[in-house]
Amino acid sequence: MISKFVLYILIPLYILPVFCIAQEMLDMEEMLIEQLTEISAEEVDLSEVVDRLWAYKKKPLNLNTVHAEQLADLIFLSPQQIRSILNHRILTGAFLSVLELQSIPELNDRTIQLLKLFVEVRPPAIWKDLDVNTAWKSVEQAILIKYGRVLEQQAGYAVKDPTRSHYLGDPNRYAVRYKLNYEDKIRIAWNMEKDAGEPFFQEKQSSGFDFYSGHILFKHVNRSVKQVVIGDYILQFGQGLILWNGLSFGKGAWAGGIAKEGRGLQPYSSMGENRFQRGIAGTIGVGSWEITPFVSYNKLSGNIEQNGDGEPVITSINYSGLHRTPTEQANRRSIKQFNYGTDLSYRRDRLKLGLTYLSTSFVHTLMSGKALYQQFDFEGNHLQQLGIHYNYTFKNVYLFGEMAKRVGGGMALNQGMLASLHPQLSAVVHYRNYSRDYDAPYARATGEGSHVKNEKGFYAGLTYHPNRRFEYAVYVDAFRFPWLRYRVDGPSSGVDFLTQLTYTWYKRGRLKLRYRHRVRQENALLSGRHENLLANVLHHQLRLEFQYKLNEVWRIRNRAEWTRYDKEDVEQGDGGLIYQDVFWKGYGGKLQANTRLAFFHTKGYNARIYAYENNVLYTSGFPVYYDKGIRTYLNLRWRVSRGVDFWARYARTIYNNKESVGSGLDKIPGNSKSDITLQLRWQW
Amino acid sequence: MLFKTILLLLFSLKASAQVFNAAPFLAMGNTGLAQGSLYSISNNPAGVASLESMAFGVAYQNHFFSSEIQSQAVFAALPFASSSTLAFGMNSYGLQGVANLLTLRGSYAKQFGRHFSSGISVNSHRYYVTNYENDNTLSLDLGFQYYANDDITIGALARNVTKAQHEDVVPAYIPVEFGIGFYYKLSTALRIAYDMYYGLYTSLDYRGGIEYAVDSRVVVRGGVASHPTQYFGGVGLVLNKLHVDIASAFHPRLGTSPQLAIAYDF
Repeated sequence: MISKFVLYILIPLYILPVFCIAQEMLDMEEMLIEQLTEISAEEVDLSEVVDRLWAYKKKPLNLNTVHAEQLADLIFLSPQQIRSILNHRILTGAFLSVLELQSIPELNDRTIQLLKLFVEVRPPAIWKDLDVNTAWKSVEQAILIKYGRVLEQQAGYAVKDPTRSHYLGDPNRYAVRYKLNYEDKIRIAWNMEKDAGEPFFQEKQSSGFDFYSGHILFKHVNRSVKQVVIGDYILQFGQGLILWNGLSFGKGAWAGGIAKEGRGLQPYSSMGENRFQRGIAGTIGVGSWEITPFVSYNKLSGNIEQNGDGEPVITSINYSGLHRTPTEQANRRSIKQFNYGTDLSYRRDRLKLGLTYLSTSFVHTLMSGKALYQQFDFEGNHLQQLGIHYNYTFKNVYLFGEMAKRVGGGMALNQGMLASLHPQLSAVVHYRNYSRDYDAPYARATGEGSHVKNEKGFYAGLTYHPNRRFEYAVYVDAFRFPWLRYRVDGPSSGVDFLTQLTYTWYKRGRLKLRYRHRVRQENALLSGRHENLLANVLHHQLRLEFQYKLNEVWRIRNRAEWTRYDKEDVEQGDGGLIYQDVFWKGYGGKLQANTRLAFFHTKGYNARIYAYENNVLYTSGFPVYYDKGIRTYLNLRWRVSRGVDFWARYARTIYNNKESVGSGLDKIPGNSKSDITLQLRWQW
Repeated sequence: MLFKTILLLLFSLKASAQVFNAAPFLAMGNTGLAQGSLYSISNNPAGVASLESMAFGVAYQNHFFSSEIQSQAVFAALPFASSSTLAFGMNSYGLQGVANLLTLRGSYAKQFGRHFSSGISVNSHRYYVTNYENDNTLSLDLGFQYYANDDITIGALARNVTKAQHEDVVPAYIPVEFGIGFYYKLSTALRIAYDMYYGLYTSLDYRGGIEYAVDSRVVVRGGVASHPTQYFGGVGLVLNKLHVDIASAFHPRLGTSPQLAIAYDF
């Protein structure tokens, strides 16, 4: 979850205009997606964040019943502001109008302006008055159907020999989402998905889709039971050293990603096929105490083999969620996993303390790899972590941290501080120390590595807002990996440096200049030697971006980016990307379109460039551009009627001098790849 | 040979060896080009021009914590008529009783009007290994500061403009570098410094620091430098005319180098 406090003190001027116009919420998507701790997917499901904000925009929160957690969902409010709104209600009674917000000194004009988009004043809805007839009128439902496919034939679909690896299904992608919401007290959701290449009503997918997910959520059941989720849910506690399901934000131009503030128990609404819990969980609050017990049983995909004693053991777990080939089919949902645990937290004034426990059991023994770098990985069938976390606000300083221990293994610790040193300047520092024998499969914490282990680092960042127009952000992160890693045959270290200057035309546009420099080390096998040495790998990235709203109908966005990859004594290469985006809105906003034309030229994959792409609702792309060619896409959104929206997307990449695109089963003959997506949503 | 190797390791750390920054500058990432202080003697001599009274200071630093490598420094400044200041500095770096780099500095700085000051520093560098080698050389530093307004100062430094070096056999070199610095008082409590150095024998070095006054007596500082990537931090106490500052560099591999500096304004 995004830390509200951080957002408030670090990027208010930058982020606020973004919220003002619904269309520009896409900008926030881009900012968030660039800071996901795992940037690899071509398509990222941002529904967890986007859905929440859109839902509040559509169905504003009632100031007379709103809870602190709901206000915290509006990521631009600080804990102090949230407290002041609730205090106002206690002191002066129910709100009569949203205009009363102006009498709360902690809220400035711009915050009020934004807050008005997401709140309103209604008489409180009372749970005990619920009866089926009146309740049903307040129920909101939505169904969303999505279809997509790559238009060219990929090699995996053309294989006729059943003994060779091939895709068992067709190249179509289907997804269906259904959701029901009653006054934010009862929520029901049911999601279904089939990825490209996966069988549909065949093989192990005899019931149709490859992935099903659903939940029923009851909120504010009574004074003590704050919520209960039956079905799929996610858990986010502390700084993510033990449990952090769902989206996790890390380093980036927005320093707010560093300080996490766990949102606790949330229903799961994404299409990702892993990293969530399936079972039952609840949050019970008594006074200053809150406890969140949970139980989950899920089946993961992975490889099970017989060991020397003839016992079945787990040799790998596959988190891709793809079940397209005979091997992937054989491994589908073969690993049975049982989780249980709890988080106990205590909140008083500006202090929050928490204790988290997680137990993970596998039916079979999970084996660690045999490579030297895997020497300290967990092996066994029962994994437990126990940890404590806290956050505390003292004057203009926000302190946060977590410490966790794997039972029978190592420790992980992180500690951070955000300080609003001046109305124009904020600083953030963060220290992390994750031991090489700490293992937590559901951990997502600030760091450089993809796992929370084998890493020490210190991050320091500043954000400076001299006025409404300028923002300057800079950070340095220096880190060490004390033990070996994949493709790094020795202890290694690195640095990540980013500096960014943004000039904003209020409500109209902005100009952004960014430079990022990264150094890491990895193996290099030099000629004449028989063992790997560690070589410094340098990445330089320079980006200039301009976007401007020309009028109510047209908006443009341009970017030029240069990157340089330099692996000491091994390989060097440059890359460049230029694109032009155009956004159009017509027929009173009923029809919206945006398109991109991009030219890219990089020396191979190592000098690749990632760039955010607009996509259909809930989906955001962060695809990689490499080699030489042109990429273009067109997105359309048509508001067919009051409750019906339709999206269409066509994207195409044409490479120069290529006889095929992609590799393995995804290989396409020719020099281009194109993709379509269609999506329909009906709300009632 | 082994002895020479140890010495090479000892003195090849440029930042520690030849240039000494006292705790307030060290804590802010070894910045200081655009600041005025007694400690400017070993940083940018133009910085002592703004002193209004006589000042004296000492500093002691332990490099890489538990090792025997130490620095000691002494600073003294005497402002006199016509906005001029004479200053004297001494800093030594080395293994006590074994090998040592000693730098003696004599500086003269003068303010020209409200906006500009400059300083010159003559430095004597002595390299000494007990019963082994001994070498002396002289270098010259030129410094400038421009006070754009009450809040912004810009500093510039040409270090070792004469390109003086020790004899070839000496495993230590005197940096030849040019620096430009920026210092901004964001408020009475908050200051930011940014310095950039171009060295003849090294790559560009970027340094940044921040200073925050928790109250009128306690100042907290932090900084970062790019070559090598190091963090810095420190705390300063102001007890009337006495300034006590502690600071440390945090090198990701070599560890911490804590320093204590004490100064008195007469």
